[in-house]
Amino acid sequence: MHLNWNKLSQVTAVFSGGMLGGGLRYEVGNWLNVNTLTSTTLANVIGCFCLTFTIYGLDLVIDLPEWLILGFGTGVVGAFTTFSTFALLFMQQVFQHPTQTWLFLLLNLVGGFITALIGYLAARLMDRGKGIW
Amino acid sequence: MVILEVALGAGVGAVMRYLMTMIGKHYWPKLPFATMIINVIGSLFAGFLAGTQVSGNWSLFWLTGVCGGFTTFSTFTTDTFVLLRNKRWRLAIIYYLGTIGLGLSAIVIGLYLGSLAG
Repeated sequence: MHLNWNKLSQVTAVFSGGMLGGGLRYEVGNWLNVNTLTSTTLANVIGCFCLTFTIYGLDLVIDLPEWLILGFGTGVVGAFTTFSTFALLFMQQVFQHPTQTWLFLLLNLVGGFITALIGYLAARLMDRGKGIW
Repeated sequence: MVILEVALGAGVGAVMRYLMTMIGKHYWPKLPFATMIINVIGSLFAGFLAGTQVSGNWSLFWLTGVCGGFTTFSTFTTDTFVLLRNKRWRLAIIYYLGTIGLGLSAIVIGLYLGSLAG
């Protein structure tokens, strides 16, 4: 049987990273002792920073193997953030607590965008000063 | 162990997302439609599971783990960011609002289908 080791290492990296990211997302709520709405928002906002920073900066400055970038970006960060929980919580709670739930939606959307921008700018800054890294 | 169920599910979800993204890149090399489809399908399934009142270990594995790991908020935001950076304004707005609109609608449909099945 012909095994494509490159593909296998990529899938393994995404699976391991996904386990780590998903586990972290679950534990964030427990560690901080906050509700799922808050922990999901926090995970989404932090994750947006991490992803743009990884895409635009990390591989430009530090020479990392492809599987590691894939494992971290697609695996860890991808599974740390979630769209389905975000959407489900919104629909389940918007009629009982409209103000709080709309605020949660806005925090995810606007907050995620701002941290994504910060991640991008931080990566650009790092790229400019890559001589020192 | 509770965290192991979530982690295993998220690992499976992440691999499914990766494979679907690869297929999407083949058909739409410069468009993030795969992520949109992933988030909508994941939301439909999450709504369905919530509608069936799934609980305990199954909920942790499938809902928090698989659906949570399959769908992604960071790629969705970054995709929009990249489209805006490439000055593809109209596509960015369609993608951004389209994902939110379709994702929330998928939850409602999923909840309804789940309540019928549960």
